[in-house]
Amino acid sequence: MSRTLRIERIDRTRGHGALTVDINSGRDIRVSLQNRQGVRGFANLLVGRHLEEVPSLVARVCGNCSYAHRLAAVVAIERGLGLRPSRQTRLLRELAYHGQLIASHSFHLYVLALPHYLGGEGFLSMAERFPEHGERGINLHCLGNQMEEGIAGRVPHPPNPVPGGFTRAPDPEELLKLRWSLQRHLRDAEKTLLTFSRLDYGPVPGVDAEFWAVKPKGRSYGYLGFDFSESSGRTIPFDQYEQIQKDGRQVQVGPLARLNLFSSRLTPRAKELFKRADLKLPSANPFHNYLAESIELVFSMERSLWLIDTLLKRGIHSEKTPAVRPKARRALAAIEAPQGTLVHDYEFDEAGLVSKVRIIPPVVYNQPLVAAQVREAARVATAGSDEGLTSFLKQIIRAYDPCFYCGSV
Amino acid sequence: MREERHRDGRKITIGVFGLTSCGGDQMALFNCEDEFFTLGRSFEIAAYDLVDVERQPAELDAALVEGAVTHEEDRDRLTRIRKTAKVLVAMGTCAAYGGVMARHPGPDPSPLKEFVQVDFTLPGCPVERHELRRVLGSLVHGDLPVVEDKSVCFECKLQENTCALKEKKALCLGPVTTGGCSALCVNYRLTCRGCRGPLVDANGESMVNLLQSKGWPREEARRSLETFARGWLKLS
Repeated sequence: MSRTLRIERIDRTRGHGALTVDINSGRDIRVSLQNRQGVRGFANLLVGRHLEEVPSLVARVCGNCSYAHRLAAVVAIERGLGLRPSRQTRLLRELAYHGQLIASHSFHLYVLALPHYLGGEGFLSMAERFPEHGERGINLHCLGNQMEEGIAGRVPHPPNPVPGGFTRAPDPEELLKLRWSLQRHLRDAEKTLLTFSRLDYGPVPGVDAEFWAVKPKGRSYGYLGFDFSESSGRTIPFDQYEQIQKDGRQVQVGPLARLNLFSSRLTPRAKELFKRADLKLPSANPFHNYLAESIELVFSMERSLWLIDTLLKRGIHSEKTPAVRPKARRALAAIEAPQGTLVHDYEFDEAGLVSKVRIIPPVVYNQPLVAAQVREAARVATAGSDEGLTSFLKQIIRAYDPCFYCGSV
Repeated sequence: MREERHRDGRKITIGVFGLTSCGGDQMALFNCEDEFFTLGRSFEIAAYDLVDVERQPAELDAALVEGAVTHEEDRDRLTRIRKTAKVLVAMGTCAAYGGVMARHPGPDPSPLKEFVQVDFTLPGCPVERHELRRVLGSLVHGDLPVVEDKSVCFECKLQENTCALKEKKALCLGPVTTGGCSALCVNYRLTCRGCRGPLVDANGESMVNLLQSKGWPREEARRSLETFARGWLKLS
């Protein structure tokens, strides 16, 4: 007997996504995952604009990860023009980045995901009934925001960084304040892993996927690099960012992909926690994304403490941002946004005006895999009621933290 | 915030909705963090797209709507929200002026006021938390705040910044942009690009002339004014 499930709004994901599943038989299941956000047309908007305008405009792609978009554009422009930011700038950028990641992961974990497992209602009623979880989520989110705002200037849509540098360095007092907050909430991050390890996610359908992430520079875990890494072991240069889609392969990007590829590079406390967690890698279980995010929270906090200490030891200097001299160039960068690989690819003319733009957010990379995972889940759970199946499919999609705002660029 | 109620003893109900946008203004409200819980004492948050399951309450004291209208679905939703809400607030620059969006082959991205009555406009990209608090504080008393009529320049002077327009001949839209941000971008050594929309009674054409006198091509000046607020030059 055939049936059709229509989910008009996949609630508690970022932005407006919808899902239609046509089940004709156990074998014939069609899945359509749609982005219902109105398109804003950033590519059209940016063409003809000067490269110095680009970072502030592309930050507006997403109210959740605006810093990642801004940073990706800035890094792309710097690589295109051959600008090299100072060490202080790089340290500050990374610190603000971790702030964004902490805010983004804790929002996904506590606000979007957890309420379902504690009774089904939204975050507001969960926070009332389980104040401990509500407060922990808010504390971590607040910490992340405090870091991004304190270092980059605002949340969302920060005024920093800019091509070549960072326009204003924070006072040492600001860094000490952040240091104190980080130490205070490290336990909250550790407890997060415990909370998410104990939840019952139900039976998980297995779908094969390759993992894909930016290969971090040096030997540490991180979000900036010069190539992609794939779980097959291959290293792929940035300019082949479309290859995986052209090949029609299913890839997974995001926290779990990063952990699958680079868990050996974690900081000591995060590594310890990872070893104790009930998480065998490689894993493509979508719900393990929650555990990966929890571990990344701890990593980001440890790494931030190190960054702050390093900055304080070096002393904070007021630095001048170098003048940007435009050239006709392609400007390409990929970074790891909190939800996975984010590509910004521009072409500029000799006056520094944009002639071509491509932005690929993590949600686009993950789309074929998410659809396959939904299809498989529908196949396995096809005997269940519409209500039960709808709820389960939403949980699966939610676990990948798709951002339909980024997807409607 | 003190606990406040309607005369009939019920909490004030608000709904927070998002049309075509980046979600940043809904996020800014959530970013009020610890105050966010305090809000719960005076308000019943009956709907909140970003953080809650989908809800369409039949009656609201106030709706805060983020985003511009770019397609049929936005328009239908906005019309429905307007019917249920006593007060409708355009939250953020997209809702107020159309925001950072390109023209499409289809209908232009449009501010809410082109389709429904807007009772209060709270610009900002994102909205400022202190202004959101002011709106919510006023709603508690069945009122709305006074419209901001200070320019970004006004606040920039209070920050004792060097004038980017005068001293550096930079493209800065501070003179004609609504303040409220404490000139954040200039504090960070960028210039104002008008993300908070046109100031009441600002003269856009005259701003274009001023920028031209500083060496900026007229076309670039005009485009810059219209980046966050479509039709800026017609508005002023």
